[in-house]
Amino acid sequence: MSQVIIYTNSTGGVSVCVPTGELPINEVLAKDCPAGAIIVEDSALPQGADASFFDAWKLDGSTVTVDFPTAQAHKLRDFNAAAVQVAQKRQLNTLAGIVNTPDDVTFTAELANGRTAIANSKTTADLIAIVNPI
Amino acid sequence: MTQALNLANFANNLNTSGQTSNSGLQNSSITVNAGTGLSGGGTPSLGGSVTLNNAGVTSVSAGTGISVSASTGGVTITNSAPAVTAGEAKAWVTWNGNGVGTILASYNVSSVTYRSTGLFTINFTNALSDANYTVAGCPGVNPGNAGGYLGVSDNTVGASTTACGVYTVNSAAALSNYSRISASFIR
Repeated sequence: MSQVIIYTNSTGGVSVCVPTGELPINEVLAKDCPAGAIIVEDSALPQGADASFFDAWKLDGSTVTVDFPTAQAHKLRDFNAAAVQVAQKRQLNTLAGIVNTPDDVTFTAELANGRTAIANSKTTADLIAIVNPI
Repeated sequence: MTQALNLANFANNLNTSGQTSNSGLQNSSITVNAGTGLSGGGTPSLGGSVTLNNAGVTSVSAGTGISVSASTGGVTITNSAPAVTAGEAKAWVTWNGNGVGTILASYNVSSVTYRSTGLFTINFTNALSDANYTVAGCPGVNPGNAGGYLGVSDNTVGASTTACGVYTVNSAAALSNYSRISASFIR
């Protein structure tokens, strides 16, 4: 168990300052962090699936939780970015005369199913279970 | 005749207990000089007193990167921060960027701040001489996310004498975390 320093950053997310051990954590707090930053045990930070959605963390007092709608939005963003890459690859395949697998109808249905699953998800574990297009 | 006179003078300086006064002695006082780091002293008569005061170091305080075991008596001063020597990398750090990971090793780096996926601030223990240092680094290992690279200065945190913002991206130029990121700062 070790201690870290947390604070709400300029984008509204949570920044986590991890000391290297070269200086006492109180010196790191004063030197490297803005006013209002606090020292917490790293075990108090979101764990498991919640840890994977660092960009959706929010700080309320000394408690860090996952803002689930933000986590959903980030998952959808990543899903769509992956879908664009795969779609471009499929277009190149078509131009090169290579048959895409699955076919376009199935691929489109898979994308729709994935987006629906993201919208219907209830937990961060649900979001992690949804595989991005590959 | 002379002996009788001396004995008479001596007898006149004795009290009823047979003790002589200071004025009856050839050297009735001593001189105490204040040495280096001391003040006070003087010429007290025998039986008197004089005070010497410490005019030098009166307390020891720890500055940044220094720890002190005591302020008086036996004092041990320890440099808890590494020295920065010319001709070497002025700072370097290797860390796990996945989630809120761990610092694997460092030199002249006090902390790594995880700001967002793929966005980090490296904070230096001792400030560098200027911000015109070279940064060399790589994102390291992330199976399935190969081909990434490490960049310097994002839109929020630039390169300064006290800290440097770095980012790691994958082959699609999207911010991404890696499990063994390393960065060196050379000047």
